[in-house]
Amino acid sequence: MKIKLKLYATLRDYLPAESGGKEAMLELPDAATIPDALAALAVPVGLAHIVMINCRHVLRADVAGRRLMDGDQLAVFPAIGGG
Amino acid sequence: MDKIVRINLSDLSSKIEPVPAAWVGLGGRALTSAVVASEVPPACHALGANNKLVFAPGLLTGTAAANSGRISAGAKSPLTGGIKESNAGGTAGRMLAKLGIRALIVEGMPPEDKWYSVHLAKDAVTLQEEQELLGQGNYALVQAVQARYGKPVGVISIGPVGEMKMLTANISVADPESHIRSLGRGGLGAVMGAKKIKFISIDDTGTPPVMPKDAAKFKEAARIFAKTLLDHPVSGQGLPTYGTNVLVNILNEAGGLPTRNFTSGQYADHDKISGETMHDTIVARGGQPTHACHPGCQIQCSQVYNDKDGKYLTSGFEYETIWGMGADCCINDLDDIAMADRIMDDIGCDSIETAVMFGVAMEAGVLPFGDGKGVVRMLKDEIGRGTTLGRILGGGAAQVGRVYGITRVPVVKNQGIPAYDPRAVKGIGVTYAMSTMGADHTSGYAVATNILGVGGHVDPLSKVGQVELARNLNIATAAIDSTGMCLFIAFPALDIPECLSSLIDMINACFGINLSGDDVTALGKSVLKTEHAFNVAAGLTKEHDRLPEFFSKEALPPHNVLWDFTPDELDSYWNF
Repeated sequence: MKIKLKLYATLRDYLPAESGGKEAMLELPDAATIPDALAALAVPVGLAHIVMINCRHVLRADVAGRRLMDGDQLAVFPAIGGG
Repeated sequence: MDKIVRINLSDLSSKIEPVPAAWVGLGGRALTSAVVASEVPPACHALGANNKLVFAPGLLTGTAAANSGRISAGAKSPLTGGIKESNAGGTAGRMLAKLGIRALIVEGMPPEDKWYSVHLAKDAVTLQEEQELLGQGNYALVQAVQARYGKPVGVISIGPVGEMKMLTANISVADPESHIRSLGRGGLGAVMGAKKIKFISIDDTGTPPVMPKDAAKFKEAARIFAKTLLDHPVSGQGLPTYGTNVLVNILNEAGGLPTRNFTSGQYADHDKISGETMHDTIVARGGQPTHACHPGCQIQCSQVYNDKDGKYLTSGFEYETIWGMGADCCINDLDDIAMADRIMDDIGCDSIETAVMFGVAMEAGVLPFGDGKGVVRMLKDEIGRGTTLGRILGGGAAQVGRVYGITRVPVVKNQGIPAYDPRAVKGIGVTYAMSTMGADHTSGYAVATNILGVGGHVDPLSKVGQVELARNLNIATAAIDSTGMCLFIAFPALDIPECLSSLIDMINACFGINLSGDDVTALGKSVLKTEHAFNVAAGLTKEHDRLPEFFSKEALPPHNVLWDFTPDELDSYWNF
């Protein structure tokens, strides 16, 4: 399956140079999980502070086991804040 | 010796008074709201002689505690019609505290059409007529006042917008580099303009630092407190690296970034105005991606943004301003937004209210969406000069909506709704509706728990748990706003228990008292109840604690969600 992985803030350092620096299309085996997608770009799971799939938050406790679906948009943020 | 300084413009007198027993132990917002509640008739005209403008450093301001340098300003707001407290960094708070001034109360109105300035120094209060600096913008004014005294005195000032008493007028506070921080919201600059005070200067020469009663206990608590700020990933890494504007992309991803006058939750050009893009631009132009807005700030989320030629353009360039001019007005050029930010600081208008207003004005066809150059021109040539159109625009979003017959006007109690759509970030919507301040994200920042994973997670798209979350955050914030602490200490405070306990230990060591955590919560509740009672007496009813109708009628893409709280659900906020 194919998914789009969008990385933000300091995590953008993990994107390959040819990606344009914002997101990458990943080809993953069926039943791949969020950690599988992160591993494809060597992003440490511990840095994935906020995770969204298709604009909806994934609870931190669910990140490790959450399976991805073809066409998913996975967005990952480090710890950030403001206001 | 702690004191209250009172300036009365009606008889041009000044007095130094002891702190009344009822106000001992109060600082910042707790003190400004106590003074306003006890001395300002709630039904008075906010721009009349019976309103009072109060400045107060926080309880810990002036000490060695990290991030404790905030100053609060309070009055009856001419924008909301209720009580107002706004706080900022800069150098003035620390200087007032070193002078022992717990509160500066400005009251009355001058008998003649003359303008004045106030100078505060060790054992001296001077009220004098001011002519030379009338009409000046804040940048030039700060330079001129500091040149006049030959030293970097603290400066609290208004620009032309405040002189003209427009409802968007803010009050500026000079920062350590003589640039501008803002007591932004609620039109407090118009109150200062009504008193005909152009600026207040503060010279703390000859005053010692504020010394805690138990220095050893204070030092240990301050060390633990500072460590929690460093240890938390948001205050220790996220905020210092990218500043507050890092929020553009995550709010866009969550579908809660109000766009094109609150008609969508996502902005196609979000990355052009994002914190990541801004960071790279600042670094490439030799600016400062990290900067402290007040002495002793450890988080340093501010920055210095240079223009294309590498020259200083603006600082304190915050997410809410960039969201408002960016996504809400569809201006995708950071340089245009930075220029607008610079001008708003200079002429002295609130960058949130003004940005929300321009979103409404664009919907009305006053100028096209995306017209950054048009915004810059209108700020300078219309609002800054007080033309007829400028005075309409300078009245804020609600006024522009009324003048042009627009129904999609994002305000609560006439104050513009900031950078988080309440339909898609429901916890902050409860804060907007219920805050004693009108729509104000800082009074109960539920975004932390709805979006940022701080203090746990409450689903931003569900109503469940949002009223309780907003209530608890508003109570905690009222207490934090009274300490002189930057609100961003709330990020570690929500996740690291030692942050709050060491903060309380610092207060206890400073004053030789023995507050508990429950006492601090009680302080927050007391502040909110005091403010709420003032608002009710001023005529703000339950029906004012509501969001505009369009939020419950127009579904917000991409989640296609509505604002769906019932009146009873919202009113349960006050069950404490």
